[in-house]
Amino acid sequence: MLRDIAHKLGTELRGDTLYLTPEQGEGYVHACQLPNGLSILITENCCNFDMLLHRKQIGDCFYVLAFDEIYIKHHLIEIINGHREVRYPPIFAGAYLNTTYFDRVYIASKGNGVRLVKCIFDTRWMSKYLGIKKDDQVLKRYLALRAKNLNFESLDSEYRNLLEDIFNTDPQNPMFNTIVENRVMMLIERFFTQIFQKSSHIRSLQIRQDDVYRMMEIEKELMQDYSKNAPTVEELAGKHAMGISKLKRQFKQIYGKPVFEYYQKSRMTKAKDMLISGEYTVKEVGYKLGYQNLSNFANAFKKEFAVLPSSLTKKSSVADS
Amino acid sequence: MSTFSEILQSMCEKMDIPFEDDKLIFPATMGAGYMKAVKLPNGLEALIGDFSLKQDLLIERSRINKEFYVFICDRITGVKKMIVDIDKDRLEKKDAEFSAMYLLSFLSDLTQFTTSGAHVSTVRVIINKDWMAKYLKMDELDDVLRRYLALKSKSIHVRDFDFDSQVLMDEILNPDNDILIEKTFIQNRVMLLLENFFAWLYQQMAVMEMNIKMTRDEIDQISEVENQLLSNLSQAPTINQLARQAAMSPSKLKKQFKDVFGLPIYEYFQKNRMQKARQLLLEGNRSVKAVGMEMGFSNLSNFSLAFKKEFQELPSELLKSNVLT
Repeated sequence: MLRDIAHKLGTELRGDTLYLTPEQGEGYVHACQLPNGLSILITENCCNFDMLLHRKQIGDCFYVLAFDEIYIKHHLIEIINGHREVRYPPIFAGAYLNTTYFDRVYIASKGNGVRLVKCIFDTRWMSKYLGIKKDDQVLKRYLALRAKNLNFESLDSEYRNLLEDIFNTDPQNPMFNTIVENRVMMLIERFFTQIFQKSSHIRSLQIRQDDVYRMMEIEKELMQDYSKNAPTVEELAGKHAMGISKLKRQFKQIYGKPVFEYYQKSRMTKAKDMLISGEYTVKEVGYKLGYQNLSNFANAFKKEFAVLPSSLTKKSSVADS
Repeated sequence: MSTFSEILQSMCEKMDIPFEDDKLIFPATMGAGYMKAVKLPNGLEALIGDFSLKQDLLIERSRINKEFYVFICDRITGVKKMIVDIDKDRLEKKDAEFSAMYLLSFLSDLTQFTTSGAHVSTVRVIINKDWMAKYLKMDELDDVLRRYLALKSKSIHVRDFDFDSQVLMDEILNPDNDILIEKTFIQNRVMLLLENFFAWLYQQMAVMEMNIKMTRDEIDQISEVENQLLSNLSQAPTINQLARQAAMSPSKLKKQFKDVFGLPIYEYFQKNRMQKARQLLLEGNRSVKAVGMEMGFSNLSNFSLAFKKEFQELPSELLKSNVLT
């Protein structure tokens, strides 16, 4: 499929990667097959032209699991089976599953920023790796919902960390396949775990679509910069013209945790990753994450991971006597 | 025997206990806990074990002529003494915990001895060349791997658990009850442990290449010297003899040998000699005197002292201690 697109755009494919020319925009689209048989597509791009993508329905049933982060300048419209129209919000950060049974058309205006990972698998793969059969009740219900409405998982920081790792892995790295496959598998595991959990206590959209989209913007603002003080709930509510209690309630429904707890958890995860990388001292990490007082940082860290940050930086490469 | 399922089955036969569902459950007289073999969706086979010992445990595995590797994550606590012999190399721990990740070739002999009272958590997985070719770009790995297995210097041999790998290990051993896709869950974490280890290995090798400025030919040459040195454990060749055979100066030979094997030449020789002696004693059909003679000691008390220096016990004491196979 990538070859077709490259042909249409008049660009060349280098290996499995398509690079946009400067006139066309910025970015790349990379497609590859992972050792475990999954086909995946990774892209980060921003196009300078309007685009129409049409994927025709095909008979064989493949599943497409997509993790999208899209910043929409003018518009992105998806038309499913020729009549239903879905208009995307300014920021969309969600994961969703669909099948190639549907006929879909995407119409995107220029200037949209897109970062996404998609994986494609068939029923055999799904049953082998996930133990989920084609006629699984939860799966069927999910796909039915999907046909009626956009039913997606909002990307939280845990999803996003995995995606970041994928985008940041150098294709030249000898372990590229392993790193990408492991992250993709963790994404898939998380996605299915979540939809199966949700299906057990059905949360049939008590939140309106618009509100979900608004939460995606709020989440993005919250996570923007750890080195500055986090925006307060009041500020966020004021900016988006909604009540404080409604914001708190909906945030927790979508992202699973109260606003500040969520913020703090992903901040500490970031701290942990920086410490493990061995490139920063505890002091530097604390400072970069906006702590003026190091013992506050150490306490917060200990609360999250039950160990002090200093215990992660110790260089201990000699294990045996 | 090249699968965990087969290995566990033969252990069960030895211990005279039933083997069901690919799971070995320790009988109350020997300890508590289990070891189980799990076939993962991606074709790998894993061994997961979590048990406490009431008796000493000795596991021996002889080399198999197949190019398989076992990736081992062990966390052992409450151990009075634990010894892992890999061919001529030995990891030993006393009165402490032992936790490490390491890689082992099926082409090596392995003996693992753990004293009673220990609690062992282990995750192991067998990987082969095909797997490595797919996941780790074998052409580059080949070299890295060959050196990893050749280099016996202590700092490189095992990897400590870092925070992430510790968490992964916990998750594998104590999965949530309500996970829906258990095998996928285990598979993903096993894969992340493998990734963690190999990323470290690549990094270590890069660092080492910078520290030890040796060409591959030189490493091969030093390995050749090592072979020579250990070909007759009853008598050590002199350094001058070895240097002449390897066509290098004695001082260069001494330095490079230590870089690669982590010990000075004679110490390394002595260590291997004592390990051989221990092995012969454990076979159980020789007296201390016979073993001493066989190892080239004309004076028996010299032998006993050298042995004690290596293992903190006299050869006669070893013969008395009881081991469970």
